[in-house]
Amino acid sequence: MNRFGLSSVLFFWLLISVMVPTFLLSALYLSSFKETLLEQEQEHLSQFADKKVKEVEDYVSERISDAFTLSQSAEVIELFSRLLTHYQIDREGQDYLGILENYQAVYQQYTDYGYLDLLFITPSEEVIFSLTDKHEFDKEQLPGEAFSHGLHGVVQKAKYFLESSSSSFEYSPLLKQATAYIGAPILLDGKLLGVIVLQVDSQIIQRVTLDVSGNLSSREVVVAAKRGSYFSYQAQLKYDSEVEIGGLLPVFKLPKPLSNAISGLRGVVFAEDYRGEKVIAATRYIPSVQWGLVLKEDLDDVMLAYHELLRLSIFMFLAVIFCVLLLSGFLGRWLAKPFESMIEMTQAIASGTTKSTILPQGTKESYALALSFNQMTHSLALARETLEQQVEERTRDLTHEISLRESKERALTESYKELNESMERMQSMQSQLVETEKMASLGGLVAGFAHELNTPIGVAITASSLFLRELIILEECYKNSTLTEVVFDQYLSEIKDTCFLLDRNLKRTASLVSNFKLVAVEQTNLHKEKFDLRDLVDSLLKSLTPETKKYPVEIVNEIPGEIIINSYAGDFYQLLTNLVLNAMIHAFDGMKEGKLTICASLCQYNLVLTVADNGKGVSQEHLSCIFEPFFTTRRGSGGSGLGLSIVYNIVTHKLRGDIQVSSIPGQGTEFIITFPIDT
Amino acid sequence: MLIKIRLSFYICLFIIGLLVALQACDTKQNTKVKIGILHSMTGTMSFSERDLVDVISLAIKEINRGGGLLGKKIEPVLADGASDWNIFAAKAEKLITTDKVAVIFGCWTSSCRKSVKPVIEEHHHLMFYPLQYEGLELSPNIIYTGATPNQQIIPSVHWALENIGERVYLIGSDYIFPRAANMIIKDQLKSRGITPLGETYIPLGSNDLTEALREIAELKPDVVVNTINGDSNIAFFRGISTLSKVKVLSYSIGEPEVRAIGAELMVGHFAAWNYFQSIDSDENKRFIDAFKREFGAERVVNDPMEATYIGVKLWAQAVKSAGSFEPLRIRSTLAHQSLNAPHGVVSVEAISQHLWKTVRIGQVRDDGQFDIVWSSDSPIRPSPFPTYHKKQEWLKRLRELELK
Repeated sequence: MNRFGLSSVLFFWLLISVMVPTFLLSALYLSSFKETLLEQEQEHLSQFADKKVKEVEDYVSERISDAFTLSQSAEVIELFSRLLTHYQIDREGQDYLGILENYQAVYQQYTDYGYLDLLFITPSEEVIFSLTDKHEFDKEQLPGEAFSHGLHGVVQKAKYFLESSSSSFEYSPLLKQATAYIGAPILLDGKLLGVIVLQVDSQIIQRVTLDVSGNLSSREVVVAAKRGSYFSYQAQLKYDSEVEIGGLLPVFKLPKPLSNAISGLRGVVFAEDYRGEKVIAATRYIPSVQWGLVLKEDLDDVMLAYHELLRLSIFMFLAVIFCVLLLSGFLGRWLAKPFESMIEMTQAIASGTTKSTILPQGTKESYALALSFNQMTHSLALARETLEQQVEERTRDLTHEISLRESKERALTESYKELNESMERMQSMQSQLVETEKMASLGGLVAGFAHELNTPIGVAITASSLFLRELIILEECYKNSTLTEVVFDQYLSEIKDTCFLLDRNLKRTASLVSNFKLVAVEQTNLHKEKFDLRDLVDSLLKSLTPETKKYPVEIVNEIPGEIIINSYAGDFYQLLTNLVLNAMIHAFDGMKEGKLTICASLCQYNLVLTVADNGKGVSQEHLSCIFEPFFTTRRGSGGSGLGLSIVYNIVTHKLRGDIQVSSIPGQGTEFIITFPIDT
Repeated sequence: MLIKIRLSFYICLFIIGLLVALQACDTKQNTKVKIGILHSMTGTMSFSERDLVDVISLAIKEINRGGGLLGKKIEPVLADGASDWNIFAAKAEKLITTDKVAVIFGCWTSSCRKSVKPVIEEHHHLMFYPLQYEGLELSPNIIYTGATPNQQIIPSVHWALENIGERVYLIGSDYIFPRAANMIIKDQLKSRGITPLGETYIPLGSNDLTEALREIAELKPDVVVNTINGDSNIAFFRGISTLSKVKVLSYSIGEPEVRAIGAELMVGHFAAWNYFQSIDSDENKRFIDAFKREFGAERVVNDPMEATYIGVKLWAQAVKSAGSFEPLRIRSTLAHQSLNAPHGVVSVEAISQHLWKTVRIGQVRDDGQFDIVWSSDSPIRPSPFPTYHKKQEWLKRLRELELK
């Protein structure tokens, strides 16, 4: 990650906090300044153009009213009719020329009013009166054709509209200047007598257009009139002295502002003028002379103040940026300086020297920081000295402690080895004991079995000996011929009984032997096999009958059929044998009757096997150590204390299950064996 | 790096905040301004006046599309004069006092204008009147965008005398405009030393022209100057078409009327207007295209419609230069306004509040349009009171006419 120096951060911050708002505000100010400037100028131009229009219109309407007054004056009407009469009689006659000369002198004053000529024209466009003889229309020429466009126009308007009107300016080659005409109809009793026309020179219009107030040198009034596809400038151009007033130019040469003005668009435009210069121009249309009037100023001229301001502000902006740069550089260095010596010092401390101190300088904070740095170094140096001593002492203590610990460890290892050995011894002894116990129980079993066998065999022997004795008696009787039918019958029935007895006891013997064989075989079976738990318990109970019948206990097998498990059947025999015999021996001591229930249920993948009795129960203190090896309450009467220990081992080790015992003294004991099954 | 990003985020936030604040400072409200349209949407005049309403709505649309006026959109309020000038006066009152419109564009007939005029003047309000009329009126509160007699009647009479013939017969409907027009026409004839062969007035809406037609057939004039208004024209032209060599010069027949009467009855006859649809100029093409795009290609435009269009545009221009919708202020800026209208350059004559207009005479073609046979080469100064009489004399003559 890049880190910025204090100077650049300061520069950046100053730029943002000072320069950005300043820049935005000044940009806003500049744009509004520009807008106001242009708006003001537009407003100013508009007003001035309106003034110009009014001036021109006033001027024209003054001329028109002059012509109108003349046309209304009785003297003129009378003169006109006289001239017309004489003219129609003889246009070269003395009468006509006399009157003409006479009145030329009378109306000569009009040339002083700024008129070039005063003309009387008949409706058929013949000039019957003129102040000068120096007009361009030759009297020999046909009427109409001789008239210039402007003159023709005002005469036509007087005839067609009975209104006074004015023409626009056009160049007269004869007078070598631009002239315009003002015409007014002369009516006598509502009948059109003729037209009176005043010819106007362009001087006054020139004066009007040249007077441009305002402080901008480029301000100019341009006027032009359009005729068909031609147009003519009506006043001298400021920047193009070669242009002739009234001279016809093709319409496509019209610059945009003027074209706007002539086509009646009133307003302000930004466009190029006739020089190709960008201008701001107010455009006006003056209908009385069909003029387009443009009052324009060079845009550069107008924007001069703005451009100066813009230049100044850019310069100021750059200057301020430079100042900010300089200021932030100095400030940054000044602020960073105390830190430099602190950095040096901390580096020195890091490399182990603690003797350096800093000269406090800079701001209040850095001064305080330097002082506390110095204090810190001082205390560091102190701490370092005491620390060395302490470390030495501590090392010594630690070495001592370590040697002590090592000797202790050695002793521990030895005792551990001894313990292991005794453990091994214990284990071998335990297994020996277990084997012994197994053998002992097998021996007990065999003894019980022998005893059991003894009864039927004894009975069989007795019966066979009885049978033999009877046979002997029968033989004697037969030999003695004392054998009566009654005796033989009695005898036969006796033999039959004896044979029954014999048969029953021998069968019983056979069954006992086969059961015993089964138990013996399965006790030694170390392989897993599938068996039905209920059947297994049944056969076990049968084989245990010799032992169990000694006790007044009813043993109930409540295991439901069809619990098929795949396990070590021998272990089950041993397990159940031990539990059952244990219950017989301990639970019902001194009781007249009792009940032992064996039941089982499948719970998911576990088998829960319960062996419960309703005997006298086990006391709480014995319950806790009931599965410990060699724990017995009948040490004296031949208990080994290994029965339940074996059960515990079989359940926990071989079947990988769990055995729990619960007992309520006086009511009974219950063993619950839970182990996973593999069906 | 992270600091930098966060910083630029803050800067952006700052700038956005600044812009929002600036925007909030801009209190320009974008509301609407109402303008009144006072024309007959029902009754006999509605046939002609509906066209004017269409043109006004076109002009308003154009102005609104261009951003409105002074930041406001224009909303027209249409009042139906129902071809009854008493209703016209009442509706004008309502437009001014209730709807508070900035300006009214309205009226067709002179009678209607004369009844609305006192209402407008009383409220010092502003109305644009778009029809050519008999002149002889000057109201400071009405801008007349139609032709005055010297912009239509007077030059066309002189043209007819010079180009058709000097035997003139006058026929017109019996109300103020034809009578005033004929009075002026007779002045023109007099200025050339001519008296008309005859002069007939037929009641408005009458179709019984047999007497007049018989007289015309008998007198065989070169020109019949026709100031008949309305349906009577159909009967008139049907009758005239049987008489060869008689040309009719009409002042109330525009393109829609030609269409209604039937171009075949009218071919070769003349009409005087400031505007014909057949004028060949870019402005006119633009105007016609805009109108047809808005209302259908089969529609035609005529002089009063163009004058109406000019009126709305001039008003808009005056509002812009006044910077206000106040009628009095607009009236002062309206003086000297000029415009490149479809028929040519027009400008407002400050004194009379009429327009400088170019005069044209058209001859009916078989397609119902006009061939322009003559036009004044420049706009003509409006002269509501032709200067060959004094104003007082004109008013006297007008009163005499009204008493007849």
